Amino acid sequence: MKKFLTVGCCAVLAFSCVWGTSCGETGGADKGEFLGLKEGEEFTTDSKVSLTLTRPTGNDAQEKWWTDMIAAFNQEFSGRIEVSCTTLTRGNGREYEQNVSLQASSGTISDVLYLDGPFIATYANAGVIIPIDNYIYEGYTDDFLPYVNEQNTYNDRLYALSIVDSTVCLFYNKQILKQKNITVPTSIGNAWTFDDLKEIATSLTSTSGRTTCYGLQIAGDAGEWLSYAFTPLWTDGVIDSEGKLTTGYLDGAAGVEAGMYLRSLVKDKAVSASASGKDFSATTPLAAMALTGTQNISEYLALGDSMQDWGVTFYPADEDGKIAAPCGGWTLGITKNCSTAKRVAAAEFIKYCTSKEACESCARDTASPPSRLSLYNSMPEYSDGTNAMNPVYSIIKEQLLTSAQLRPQTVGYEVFSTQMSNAISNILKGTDYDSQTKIKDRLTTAAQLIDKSIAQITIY
Amino acid sequence: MSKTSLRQKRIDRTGWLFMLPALVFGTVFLVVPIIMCFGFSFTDFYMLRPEAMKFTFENYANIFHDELFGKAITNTLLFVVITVPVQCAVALGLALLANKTFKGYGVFKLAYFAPVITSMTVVSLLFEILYKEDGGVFNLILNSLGIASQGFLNDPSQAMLCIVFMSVWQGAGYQMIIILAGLQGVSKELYEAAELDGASAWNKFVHITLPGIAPISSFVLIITLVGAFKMFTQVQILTPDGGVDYSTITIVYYIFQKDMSEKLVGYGSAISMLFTIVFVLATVGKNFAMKGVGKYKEYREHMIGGAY
Amino acid sequence: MTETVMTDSKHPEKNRKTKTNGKTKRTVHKVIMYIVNTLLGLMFLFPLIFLFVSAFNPARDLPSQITSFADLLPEYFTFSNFASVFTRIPMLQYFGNTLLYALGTVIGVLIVNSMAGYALAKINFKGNKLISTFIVIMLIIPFEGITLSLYLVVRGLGMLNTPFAVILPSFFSCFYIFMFRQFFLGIPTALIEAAEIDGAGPFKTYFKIIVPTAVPVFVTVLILEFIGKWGDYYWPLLTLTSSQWFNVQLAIKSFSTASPYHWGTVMASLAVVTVPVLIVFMCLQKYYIEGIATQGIKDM
Repeated sequence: MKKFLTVGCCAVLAFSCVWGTSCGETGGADKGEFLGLKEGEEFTTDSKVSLTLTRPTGNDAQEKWWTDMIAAFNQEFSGRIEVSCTTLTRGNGREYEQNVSLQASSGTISDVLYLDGPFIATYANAGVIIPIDNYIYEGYTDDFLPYVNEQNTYNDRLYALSIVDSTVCLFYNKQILKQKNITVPTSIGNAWTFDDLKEIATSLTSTSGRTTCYGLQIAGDAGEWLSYAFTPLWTDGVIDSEGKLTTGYLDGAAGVEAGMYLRSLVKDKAVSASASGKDFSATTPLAAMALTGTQNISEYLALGDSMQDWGVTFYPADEDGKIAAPCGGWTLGITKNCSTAKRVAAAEFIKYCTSKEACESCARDTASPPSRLSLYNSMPEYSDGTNAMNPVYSIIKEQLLTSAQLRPQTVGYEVFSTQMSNAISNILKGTDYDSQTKIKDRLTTAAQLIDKSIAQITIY
Repeated sequence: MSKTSLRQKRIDRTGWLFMLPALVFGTVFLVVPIIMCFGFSFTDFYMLRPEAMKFTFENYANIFHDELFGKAITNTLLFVVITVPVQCAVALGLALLANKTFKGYGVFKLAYFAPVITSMTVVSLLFEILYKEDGGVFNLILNSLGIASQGFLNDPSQAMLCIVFMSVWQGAGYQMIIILAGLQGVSKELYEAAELDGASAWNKFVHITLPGIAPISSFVLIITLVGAFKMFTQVQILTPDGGVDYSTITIVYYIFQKDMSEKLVGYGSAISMLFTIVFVLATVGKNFAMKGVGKYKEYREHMIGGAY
Repeated sequence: MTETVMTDSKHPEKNRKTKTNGKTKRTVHKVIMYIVNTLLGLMFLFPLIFLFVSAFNPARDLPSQITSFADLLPEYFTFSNFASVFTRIPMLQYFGNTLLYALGTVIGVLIVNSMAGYALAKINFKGNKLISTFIVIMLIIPFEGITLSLYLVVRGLGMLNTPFAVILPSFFSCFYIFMFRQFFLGIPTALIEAAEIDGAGPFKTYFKIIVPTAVPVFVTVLILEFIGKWGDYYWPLLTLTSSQWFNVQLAIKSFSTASPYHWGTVMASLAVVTVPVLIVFMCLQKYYIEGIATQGIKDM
């Protein structure tokens, strides 16, 4: 009897832990009155505000940038605001999201959160992050790329601000393409189409001895990558405008065609189904070209001479010559755990990290495209033809300014991206995916799983 | 109050005193989480918004319309049916091979135990290299023998067998070490006596070794069975997201995916609870069956006068 | 099966001919056993060999198409990978943390579960049957199913981001209780009764008489739990968010995720964290020799 009482008490105690702590207000549709600081207004406070920030562990350059940035901020606001930072292991890419979700669930999440752009819908809808537009003065977002602002907006409310962005480009090995007399497009008007890409990649595949150097590498991290990189192939879209239904889109006519195309890449030996994401940058390259994200540029730069000379050209266009380049990056938001009294300070911190100077140094140090429009005209990498990085960066600039397409906004982004990537990966690797029916069936299965899972999120 | 009941009281007190630390930690870190999980299974708990939790029976109803859950059950059963006998046999074989005092046998024990020690990261890196369809080591060997390349993990009909192979290879050392500890308890004199009688190695194995490690064998069997039902890490590392056509998705992996990736804690908890309840019923059923068998044995022994 | 060459010399009354015959047979048998063990051993040792060879590999990646076994071997051997493991991160601190978690857990696990296992096996208290069944049933609870609940409990106790978060939840283990119970079943009750007649209390009996006869099982649990804690990744990842508390597995993750990726360094980092486990096993495997307990084991 006693034991049952103890058990019961513990259970009640534990339950109350859940409910007691996580009652943050969630932003309504109304913007309400402006609570932040006006442009140029100094932050004043009676007592020092302590803020916490959570972000994923990055590479050396990113770590250094963040450390310096936080130190500079704490110095400048010394006595008024102090930011302390927790870095969480990114692992295979999902562990960060899982960790943050657990913290959100138990009310231990930090005041400021660095999150991946497509998760804004998920977190905003659940009230994990709060709207920040009544803390950021009118006009502050004007300098940011329009689609970056769009990414950071959910239900007409601004939830986050970005420092840098990313996109997917076609990277190529200069030496191999030169040997085969292939010249890459240098203006966005004559970018290769997906069919051009397949044809050229097929012709580039060559075998010497037992080793085959494939024309193209499309492999990347498990999880999100394949859905991120190939969503534009689904020319009719992948999900309905509300972000709740994928059946009829993912497995629609355009979707099946996309699946057939991806399968034909493997069948025509343009790509290897067993490839790793490092074939292109390997000491002895096993891929002549790579469709990969700009986040890899820093890795390629760090490899220096141990990697063969590489260049960048545009993401492939559809049959009409239209490019819809995948894009979107990490953003800074304020969580529900940040008490009202601290939100102005948190907004100041976010503004500090997304200031023009901060964006510029981050873009330069971490080799990522900046989120601010004006930097594309002022940073020499993007505007000065004599700069060493300009040939690469001006392509990225043109692609981002003219053809960026955001990932779908859905509250079920994690299940969407996981299941879509898994379906694509099966289509690429599976041993019996040579019929159209099989491909359609696989996409239908994925679509049904996604729809079911999104329907189970009953918190709207 | 009689003397026996006083004695029983003292025994009760001693027993519970010995159990006390386990009860405290078990209650806080296992029973309470399970009760919470049981509670969650009747809610639509969405991890990102716990305060919106509502009571519902729908989770349990939904499970029965969940095709992927059915697939996960079939896969798990297939894995259990193949892995348990193979792994137990391999573990026993390894234990018998390594259970010698000859010089150098420490190295053999270490060798068989090595896959357990080696981190899963290394094992998965290694098996990726081995199983790769294009440029993998196994296909390299097959090709040199004139056999066509196999799909391995990419082939839905082979994927689970690949996982079984890796599991047995990686896990047998674990059971081996437990059996080895069990073998220490088998009386040496019995072997010496048997040798004097000129018993063959097989006879010694059947009549001395096997009965000697009987309690440990049933223990090893149960933990291998339970471990196989709970299989997770191997598929998470080798075939993330369930593999080709979900051919390697297992129940626990599915629970993990629902809980941690899709954040549908209510639904994930319902599957966990169902999984547990089925196991409880199976255990109770097994106990009843064993009791029946025991009664029958008693009866038979009684009839033939306990001769053996 | 546990025959030794010593047996013969113990029985000098056997006639000479059989003795030599037996000896040759034994030697042949012994040689065959060595060969079989060596071949099988190599198959199982392969990952460790692969790991330690690769740790000296100067290459920054392994080709994704393996065309011959030579591809798996380094061109030459280098120590620089190990140098970067110890210079890029404060490895010694993480070793200290992990040792704290592993030893803390092992001590708790041995005390808590062995006592419970003993009570279930040898003390006929009221509720014994019920708890025994309960323990077996609880074996099936998958950790992945209760991760969130356990996280909430640990958080409720205020243990997040402290060593307690990884140590205390591991103390109770149905698996080890069950294992201890099965082993203790084999200890003759006469041994306990004799101690009680001598006037020893139950605790004294347990620690002075029972524990010394069950060394192999204690060693086994020690090894298994030490390895488990040493290789733990997901739970520490969720509960230890401050890098000062990282264990080795969390710490070396940065080698495989942060750019530039270097195959040799990743393998060196994995090799470095494997060495302590190897040492623990090598030191303790000597307890797996015959003849510690001479009693037969009672049926379950």
